[in-house]
Amino acid sequence: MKHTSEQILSFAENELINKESIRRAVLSKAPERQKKPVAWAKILLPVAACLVLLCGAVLAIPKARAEVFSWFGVSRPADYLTTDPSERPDVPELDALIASPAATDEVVTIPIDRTDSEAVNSEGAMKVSAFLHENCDVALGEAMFDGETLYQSIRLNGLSGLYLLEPYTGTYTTALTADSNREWPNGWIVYEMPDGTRFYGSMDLSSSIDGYLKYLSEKGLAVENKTDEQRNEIDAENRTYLAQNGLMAVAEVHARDYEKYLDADGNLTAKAYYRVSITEEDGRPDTELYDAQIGTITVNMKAYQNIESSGVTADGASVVWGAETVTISKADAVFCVNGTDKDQRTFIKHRVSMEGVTMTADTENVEMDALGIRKVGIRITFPATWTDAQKEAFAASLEFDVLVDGERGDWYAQYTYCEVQEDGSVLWMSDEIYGVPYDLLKTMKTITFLPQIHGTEKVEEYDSDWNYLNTIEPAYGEIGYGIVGAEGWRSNADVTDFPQYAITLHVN
Amino acid sequence: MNDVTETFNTVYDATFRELMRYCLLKAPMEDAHDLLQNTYTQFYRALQRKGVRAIRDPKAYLFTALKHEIASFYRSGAKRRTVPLELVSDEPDDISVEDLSLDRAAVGDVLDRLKREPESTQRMFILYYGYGMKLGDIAKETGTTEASVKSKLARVRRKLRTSFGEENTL
Repeated sequence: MKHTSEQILSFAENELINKESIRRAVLSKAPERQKKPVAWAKILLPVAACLVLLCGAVLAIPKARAEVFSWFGVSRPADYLTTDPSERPDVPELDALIASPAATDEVVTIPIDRTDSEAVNSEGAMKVSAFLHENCDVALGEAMFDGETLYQSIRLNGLSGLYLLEPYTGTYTTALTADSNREWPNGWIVYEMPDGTRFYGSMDLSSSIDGYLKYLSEKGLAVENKTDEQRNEIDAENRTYLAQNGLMAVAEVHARDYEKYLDADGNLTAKAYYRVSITEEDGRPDTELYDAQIGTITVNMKAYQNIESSGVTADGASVVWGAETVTISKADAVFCVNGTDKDQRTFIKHRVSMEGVTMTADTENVEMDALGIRKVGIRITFPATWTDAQKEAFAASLEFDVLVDGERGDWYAQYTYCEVQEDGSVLWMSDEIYGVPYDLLKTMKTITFLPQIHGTEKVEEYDSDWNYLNTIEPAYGEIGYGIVGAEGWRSNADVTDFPQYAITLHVN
Repeated sequence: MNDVTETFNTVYDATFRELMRYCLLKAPMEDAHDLLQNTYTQFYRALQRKGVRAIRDPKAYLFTALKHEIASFYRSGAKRRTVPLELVSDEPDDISVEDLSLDRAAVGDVLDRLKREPESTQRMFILYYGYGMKLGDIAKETGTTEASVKSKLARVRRKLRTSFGEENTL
């Protein structure tokens, strides 16, 4: 059997997940950005315990999607596409990436009537088909390529998108499908190339219905096991919402090897199709219900390379901690214990004095530009009495809250790393301060990193049904071991802010 | 090839299959590619920034990063299918790995046919027959029931048996 298992795993690696494609994509990502000389600079006066930024205009070419959008404080490009243009923040560089569909006077009609019981093999598929026949009012929206992902939006007016909305609201009250637990409809956007090659993208509503889902939650309708009455109420809310707003969906169109279809200017032109299918739980192939052209679109696949950004250098002071005593801890795991597929949790805690610990913004790891806060690094050094185990626990217990102009808000440091370095220091880094509104980015004066210590005394372990199993509570400095195979764990960390040791960056 | 790339490739080949398995357990297959790519990209960048000796336990680092990626994926409101109700299976309860007895040529055909199955069926097939996981463990990790896992496997086996004839027992 061994060779069969190996073939299956190789199949999964090569055909389903594509291991080598991932390797190539990772290794092809550019090294640290090349920086050109500063064209201008504003020198800021250093203030005691404050970190000063030199803001400069530095040119660099973004190499990957995450880099482009982190500069603008937008982590999901789909959000931008689904926002009404009149309500979008003023970001001309992003607007330059957006492509609009070709104007057309054609009315989108359904070419396939699958109410024929021979054509479809489920009552549910018939119902969705009949529903679409009555309610199909869709229009191709804008598209955008950010260097990695091709986004295409579509507007579904009136009740057109009801079949898509229902899974998000946890109900199928329209009874579009006979048994919603066995079959579910999918919406697709398809790009067709001149040679007939098709690229598919599954439609997603996440960007456009957050507010509506929050509304349902506040009405007490986002519950796990809904009653019939609740389902009916949600159905009424869904229909009202759609009648007033319609839906904007976005698909990530997987256009592999698109380069061969580009014209000399880097444009990709495609016929765009709207496709609806039903997936059956019992393994039958998808039933196609609807597949019709809804427009033509031309997207420039090289425009993202024109975006410029600026960077900064940092030159600042350090903060030195006083004799604060804190609990720091680290929960970790031993994976695949003894060759099994079971993990085992480990836990260690220390009680330490912070006297003499120093925090400094890392001058090699601070980047900020007019469009976003892209990268921040803070280096922590320790007195000689600290052990490696204590430093590792400290790295696991440290976070920074982010204040803009002294205020907390919806922003936070994301993609953070905090690890012990070879030289014994700890480096905390964030690849993006996410959530700062674009307008505030242009006017903000200070950004403050307020250290927080998350220390915990014990870890509780649970099985997959959240039945309590065990508590790991070792003595300080000793490693505690959990049960092999425990599925879940919780620890109630005490979070302590230390504003007196905050690091403030001034922007001028 | 420099140290960073060589180290990355060594760790990548040593850990990919384990991370892939975790991904198949926790996330839709269509997203596994992106989740794994993001995870390994973080690792590669960390090697570039900090040097090859800075990450003392690459496997632990990768698992942690992957778990964060998956958590972020669900926080972003990614669409999730409703877990289907378990269906009564008319297959015997003792589905064992040894039931999979195919000659080398037939496996290729089976796997080609498997690509046409729904994503959830593909995942469970690979977890069961590829990784040799137990039904109960697959059910627990994927948030479904053992009966549902059994049903999917039973159906795909029945389909493949019908396609390829009784001589290729699945």
